[in-house]
Amino acid sequence: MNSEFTQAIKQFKKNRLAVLGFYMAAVLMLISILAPLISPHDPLSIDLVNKLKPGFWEGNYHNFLGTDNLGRDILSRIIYGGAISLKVGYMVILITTIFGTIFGLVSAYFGGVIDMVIQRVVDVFLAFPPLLLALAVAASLGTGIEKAMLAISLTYIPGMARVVRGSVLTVKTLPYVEASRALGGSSTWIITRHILPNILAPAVVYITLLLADAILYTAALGFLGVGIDPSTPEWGAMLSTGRDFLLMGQWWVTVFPGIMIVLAVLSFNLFGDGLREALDSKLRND
Amino acid sequence: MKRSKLLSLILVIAMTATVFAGCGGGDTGGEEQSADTGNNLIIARSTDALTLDPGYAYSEGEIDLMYHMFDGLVKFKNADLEVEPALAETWDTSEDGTEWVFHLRQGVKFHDGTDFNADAVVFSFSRLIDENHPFYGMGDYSYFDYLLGDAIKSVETVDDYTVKFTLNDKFAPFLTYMGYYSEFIVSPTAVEKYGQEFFKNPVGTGPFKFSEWKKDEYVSMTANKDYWGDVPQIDTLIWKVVPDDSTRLMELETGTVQAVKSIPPNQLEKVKSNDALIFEQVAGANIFYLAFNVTKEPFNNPLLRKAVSYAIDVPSLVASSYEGLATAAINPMPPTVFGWNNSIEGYTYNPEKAKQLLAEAGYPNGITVDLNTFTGARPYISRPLDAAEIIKANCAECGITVNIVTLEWGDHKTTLDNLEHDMGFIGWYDIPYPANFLSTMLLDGSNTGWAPQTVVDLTQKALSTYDRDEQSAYYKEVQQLVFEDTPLLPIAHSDYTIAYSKDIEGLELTVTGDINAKNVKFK
Repeated sequence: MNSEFTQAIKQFKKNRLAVLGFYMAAVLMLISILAPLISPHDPLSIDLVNKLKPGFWEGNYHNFLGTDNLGRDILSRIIYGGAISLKVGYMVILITTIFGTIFGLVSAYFGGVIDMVIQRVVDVFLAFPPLLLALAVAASLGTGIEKAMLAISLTYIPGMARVVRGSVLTVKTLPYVEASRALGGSSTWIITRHILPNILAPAVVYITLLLADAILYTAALGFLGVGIDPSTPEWGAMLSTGRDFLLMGQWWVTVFPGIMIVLAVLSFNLFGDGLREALDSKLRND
Repeated sequence: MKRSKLLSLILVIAMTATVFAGCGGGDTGGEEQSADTGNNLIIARSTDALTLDPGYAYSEGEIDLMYHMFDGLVKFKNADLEVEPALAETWDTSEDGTEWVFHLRQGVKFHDGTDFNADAVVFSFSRLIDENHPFYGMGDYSYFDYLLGDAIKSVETVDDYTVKFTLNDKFAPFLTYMGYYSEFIVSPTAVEKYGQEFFKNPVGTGPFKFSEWKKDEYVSMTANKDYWGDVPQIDTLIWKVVPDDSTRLMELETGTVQAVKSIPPNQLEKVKSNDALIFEQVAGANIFYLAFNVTKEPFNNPLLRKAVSYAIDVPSLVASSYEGLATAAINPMPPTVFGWNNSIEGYTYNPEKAKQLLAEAGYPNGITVDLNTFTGARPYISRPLDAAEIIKANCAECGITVNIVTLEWGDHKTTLDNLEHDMGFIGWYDIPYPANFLSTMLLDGSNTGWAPQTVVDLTQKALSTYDRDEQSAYYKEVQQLVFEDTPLLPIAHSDYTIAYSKDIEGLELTVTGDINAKNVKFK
C-alpha cells in the first residue's frame, strides 16, 4: 500500500501543471481558512458613501481592490468568498461521496431488483442537464447556502453512483472476493475489507474533478441569484452584481471575483487531472 | 500560425471600421438623417406592443401608442389629471351624480372616413361592457374593465351627438378615468371590418394614423392632416423596438433615433454629459414600499412594524439605489397626486428608537425575520437586491436579523399575494389619482392584509363625492391612519425619464409616464 502511494506521488510530481494546480489550491485553501485573520475589512459592512471606489491603481490603499455598489470592500469579500466556495465544494463532495457510494455499492453488490430500481432512478436524474436540475432544486428549496449545497450534490450523486457501481461490478468478480466469500465472509466484511479499498482510485478521481465543478456551479447559482442570500460574499453573486456596472466603467466589481473563479476552477482541475493520471498509472502497474 | 495572424488582421480591421462608423454616425450621420428624412421622428423603446386596440392594451409598449392614434371624450389638462374637452365639447351630470351626459364634437371623422358620432361612442364602450355585443372580448385583459367595469351601468345615445353614461353609484374618479387611453374611441366600421384582426389594424380619430406594424421591429404612424385639433408638425412617427439597453443608447448617440424612454440609472452619467442630448425626468406615479404582513406573527404587532420603520435609513437607501432618479416616500401615494397629506413627517432614521420599540414589542434580545424580494428591475426600482441588502444592514444594527429571500418575480408575487411573507418588497404604478393608490392598491393590492373598517368606510365616502377637496380630506385621514398603524413602509417614488436629441423640441413625458410626441417639431 505504502509503496503504491509513493509511486503515485512520484507519478504526480512528474506532471508540472498538476503540481502547480496543487500549490494554487493549497494557497487558496490557506487563504480561506485564515479569512477572518487576513481580510482587511468586514465583508458585509455597507458604506454607501464610499460605493464604487476604485482600488490601488488609483491610489486607494484602504480598499485595495476597490469597493462594490454598496461600498463593501471587494478584497475582503473575495477572501471570504473563497471560504464559501470551498465550503460548498467540500460539503458537496462529502454528501455526494457518502450517498453516491452507498447507492453505487448497494446497487452493484446486491444486483437484481435493487440494482434495477436504483439505476432507473439514476437514469432519470442523469437525463436532466445538471445546471437546470440544480437550479430547479435550489429554487424550490429556497434561499440558503446549505440548500445550494444540497441542490448541487443532488446533481452529482447519480454520476457518482454510476462510477462506483461500475467499479464494484469489476471488483466483485475478482478471485479474492470469491475466495473471501468461499471462506464464509459476510457481506459487510467483503464490502469494507475487499471492495471499498479497491474502488477508491476511480472514486477519488471523480471527487477531485467534482470539486472544481462544484465551485463553478456554486458561482453559477449565485450569478443567477438562486439559492444564495445576495449579501453573502459569493463569487458568482458578486460577478452578477458587478455586471450592471461594467458599462459605467466600474470594471473592478466584476473582474476580481471573475479572476478568482477562474483561478479556483483551474487549480482544482489541474490538480484533479494530475491525480487521475497518477492513480491510473498505479492501476496499470498492478 | 499564419491563419491566426490573418484572423487577427481581419479582426483589427473590422474593429477599426466599427469605431469610425460610430464616429461618423455621431458627427455627420445625425444631421444627414434629419436633413434627409426631414420630418420623421423615431423613438426607441425596449418592448413592442402586443395589441394596438386601446380597449385591451395595458403594457408600457402599448400605452404610448394609444395616445397618438386615438382620442377620448376628455383629455388631461394638468398634472392633477383634471380634464378638458376632447371628443366631447361639454358635459353635465345629474343631481345624484350617477348620470353623465356628454355633448360631442361635430364634424370629426375617423381615419377610415367614418363619421364620429354618438353611435360610435356607444359602440366603443358596449364592445367592452356588454357580453352580448358581437365584438365583445377581443383581447385578454381589459384595462377599461379594471378601471370602470364595475362603475358603469349603461351607455346610451340620446341623439346623434349626445351620449349618456349611467353609473351604478357615484364614482369619484369617473371623469378622470374617461381621459385615460383605455376609454378611447375606436371606429365601429373598422372593428366590424377587421373583427379579431382589429388589434393590428387600429383606426381612431387621433393626430396620427396607423400605417405599419412590423412585429418586434417597429410601429409606424403618419400625421393625420385632417385632425380636429392641432395637426402634428412631423410627417411620420416611428416607434422602434431596441431591446438592449446599451444598443438603444448607442442609436440615440449616433442619431439613428431621436428619443429614448426610461434611461437605466447606469447610463445616466453618459446621457447627462452628452451635449447633443436633452435629459428630462418627471416625478413618477408609482411607489416602492415594504409590505408588512399584518395577518400573522411577528408583524401583526404594530410596535415591531414601527421598530423596523425607524431602523431603516430610507433617504440614504433611496439616494444610493436610484442614482438621483427618485424621491424618498412618506405616504403610500406620490406627493404629486392631489390629496397627499403634507402634515405627516414619516419615519426618520432613528436606531435608538427602533431598539426601544423592539424591546417594547417584546423582543428585547432581537428577532429574526424574512424579507422577500424579487430580483429583476421593476418600473419603481431597478436594483431591488441593493435595497434589500441595505435594509438588512440597517436592521442588523438594531438587533433585527433579516434573512433575504430572493425569488423570481412570478413566485415572489404569488408568495406575497398568499400572504406567506413576513415583510416583502412590492410596488405599484398606475394612474395618479388618490382612489387608485389609497383604495385600489392599499385595500386590495397592497399585500399587507391590512384593511380596517374605518379605512374602508373612508375610501367609500371619498369614492362617492366628485368634490376634490372633500376627497382630499378623506384621503388625508386614510394616510394618517396608514402612518399610525404602519402596515407598510413607503420607500420611494421613482422618476420617469426620457432622453432626446437637441434637434427636436416639444417632446413631453406626461405625469402618467407616457410619451407625448403630438407637438414635436424639428429645429
